[in-house]
Amino acid sequence: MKKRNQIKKFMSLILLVAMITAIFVGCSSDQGVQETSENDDTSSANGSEWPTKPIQLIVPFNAGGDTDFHARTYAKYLEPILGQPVVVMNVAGANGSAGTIQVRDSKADGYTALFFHDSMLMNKVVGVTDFAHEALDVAAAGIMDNSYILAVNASSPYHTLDDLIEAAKENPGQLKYASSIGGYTYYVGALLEEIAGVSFNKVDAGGGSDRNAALLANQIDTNVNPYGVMKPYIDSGDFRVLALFSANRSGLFPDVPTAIEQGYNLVARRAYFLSFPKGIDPSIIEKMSNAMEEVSQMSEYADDVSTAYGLEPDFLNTEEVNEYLDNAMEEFMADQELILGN
Amino acid sequence: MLESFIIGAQAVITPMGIGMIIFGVTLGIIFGSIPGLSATMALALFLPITYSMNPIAGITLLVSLYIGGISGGLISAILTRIPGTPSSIATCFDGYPMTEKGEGAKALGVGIVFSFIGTLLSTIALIFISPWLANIAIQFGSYEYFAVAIFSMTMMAGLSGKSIVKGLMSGMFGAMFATVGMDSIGSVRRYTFGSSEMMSGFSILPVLIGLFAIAEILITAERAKHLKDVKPIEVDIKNIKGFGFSLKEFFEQKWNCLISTFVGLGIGILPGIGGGVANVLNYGVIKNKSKHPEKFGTGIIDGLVASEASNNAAIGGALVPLLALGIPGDTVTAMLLGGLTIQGISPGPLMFIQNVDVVYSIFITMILGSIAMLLIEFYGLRGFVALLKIPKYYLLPAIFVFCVIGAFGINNRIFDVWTVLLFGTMGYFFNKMEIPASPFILGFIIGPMAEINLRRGLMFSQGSFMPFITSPVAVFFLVGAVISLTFSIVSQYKRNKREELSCSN
Repeated sequence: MKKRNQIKKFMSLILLVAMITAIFVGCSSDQGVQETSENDDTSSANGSEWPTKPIQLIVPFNAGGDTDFHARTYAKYLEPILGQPVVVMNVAGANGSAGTIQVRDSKADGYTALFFHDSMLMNKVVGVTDFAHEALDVAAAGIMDNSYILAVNASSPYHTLDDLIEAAKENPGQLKYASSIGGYTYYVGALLEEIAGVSFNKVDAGGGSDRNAALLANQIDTNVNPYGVMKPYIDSGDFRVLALFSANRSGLFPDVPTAIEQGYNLVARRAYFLSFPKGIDPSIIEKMSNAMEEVSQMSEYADDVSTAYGLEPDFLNTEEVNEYLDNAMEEFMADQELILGN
Repeated sequence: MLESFIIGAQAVITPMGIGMIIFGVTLGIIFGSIPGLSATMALALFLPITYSMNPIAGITLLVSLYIGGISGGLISAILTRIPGTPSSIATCFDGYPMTEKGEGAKALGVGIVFSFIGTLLSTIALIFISPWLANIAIQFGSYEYFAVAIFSMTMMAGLSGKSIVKGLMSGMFGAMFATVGMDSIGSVRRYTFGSSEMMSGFSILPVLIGLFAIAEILITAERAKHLKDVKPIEVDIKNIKGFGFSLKEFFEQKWNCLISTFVGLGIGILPGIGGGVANVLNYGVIKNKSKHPEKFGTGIIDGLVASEASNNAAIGGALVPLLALGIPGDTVTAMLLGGLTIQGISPGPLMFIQNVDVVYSIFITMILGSIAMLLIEFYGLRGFVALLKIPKYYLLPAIFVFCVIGAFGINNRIFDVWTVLLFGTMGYFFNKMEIPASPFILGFIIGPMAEINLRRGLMFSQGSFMPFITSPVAVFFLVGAVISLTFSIVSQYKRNKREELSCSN
């Protein structure tokens, strides 16, 4: 009997542990699971009452990256405005298309949304997917990343963009420009080659942190990425920034000259936008766009994005973002050969 | 360095951090002590949970589980002669005879104290070796990483199993399955069969959970029918002083302990093998060096120290390549790799610049975790012993369910659940065919690393293979790969010959 009691005791211990586990797991995934089961009818697509339950915001990349950061920052400030929790879920895979496809195929009731950026378009251009923003209803762009910079190792002889271009002219096809093929920065490199009349050796050197390592070790000659990605190495003095690919200088790092000032007419940017499955009630789009605009004007929000990524708030409403994306798509399609590296 | 330590200490020494260490170490010991559950399984189960925590808390929990899990195996090894995990196989050799002689409490005391010392010494080694190695590795480019990858693959294939052919086969399978999905340079679809689900390939964590947790559950479930209830020998630990052995006995073991730590550390550093190999191998080393090898196996503390100091020292060792190069040193560190990745941290030399807080909080956790292990394992012994009696038919289904839920929770895709089941089944058949599973997982991680660095390297050199053999570091590792492969083939040939001889006798 005594033994049996003991077993019982330990069984309950195990159960307790199991329940704690369930609670923890629940924190990260419960919301999403409930969502799909509760979705039916009652509250669907009624724009005037939306939102009456939590909204899941799908980020098509793993936690910890730029897209995840921007989505979570918005989710945090949207919650009090919309009066419902905004739950960020990461569905990574296939350069963002796994999560995109999941949202595209979800019910258009306003409770599933996607937070993505221009790579959605790029994925279509390079053939990873066969659709882009036209297959979704885009609400608004929460922030524009205008902080694409070109950096070199501080020990290199290049002090201006001209220095680098001169060196590239003298050694055609030799200077190593880091990017990933079919990615946005590859396209920026190809544009720079065209504008300056030079050719680089455009090599794949992985993602943001891999490229930082490669530049640190002088394995590549130059790297283009948003300011925030290279910030620690710029602050430490390991990297030297030669140009900002934006129409105007940044208020946060005003010492860096733009490429345009230096005679190279090149602007690079990326919009982080929120979209719903196609066929959603337009009043939901309007509500979301207004709420996001409100967030973009908050000073706490401005602090968050400038500390993390060296960005200034920049909002595009439904009409503006659709125009932006249509133009970007047209431009990418026209330059498809540059992007594919043919 | 001191500054970094303070950052790490501030991050870990919080009520939350200390709570994680106590919880992790305790649970790790439970998983380690129950035969059929292992440290790898504990990590598989808790990895998805760490996803919702901040990086430091998550990693603290995982490292604590690791420390507890490797040490916990000694309890059942000493009391029942069934090793709780493969890391404690050699602990049975002398631990159980000691218990039979009525020295069970002493055996447990020795095992626990030397587990502690092994962990602590290897942590100190880790603290000095890994930043140094990372500093070198920061200069590594594609050529060097390609060579390191090839070296790692030959090492694990040769060392991790009885048969080098099966080891290589397993590694190649891993590398093959890793190619499914979009290739990471040109976004070309491979083996996706037109499915958009397959485009993202198999994620590392569901594969790990399937191969190590689900497969182990299936195997244990199958064996459970034939296993009789474990009856630990009753040991009186109430009336012993200190840890049950004298200072004199402790100091007699100092060289033994140092050598064992050194061997464990070394084996831990080698990719693909850890505590499971270290304890058995080091037992042989210490026995050969001993003045009285004939006493080994009769219940002397030398043998116990050899096993327990070396298996825990392998923890510090296995973390060296993980932190400095991003290559896991054993299967548990492969889990840790996954745990860091889902937090957006990529292990490798840059961690020492970008995530100093994470690196040093791992060091601090190792130190505090080993102290927690010493105290919890010794003073909570009666509880752990009682847990050995829990019937498997309660435990296994629960763990199975949580593994599957966990796999779904990481990325919210049902596809990952299928991945877990697929690789769980595969792991089961691997076990039946005596194919080691750890080369698979390293092939899965290192295969793509070799591919991507080969292709990047060729882009850098504009198609020339020369830099791969003119870079001194790359040559060093490639030559190392040839040597390790030759060594494994020769030693297997010798072993086969010996077996033939012993058969014909």
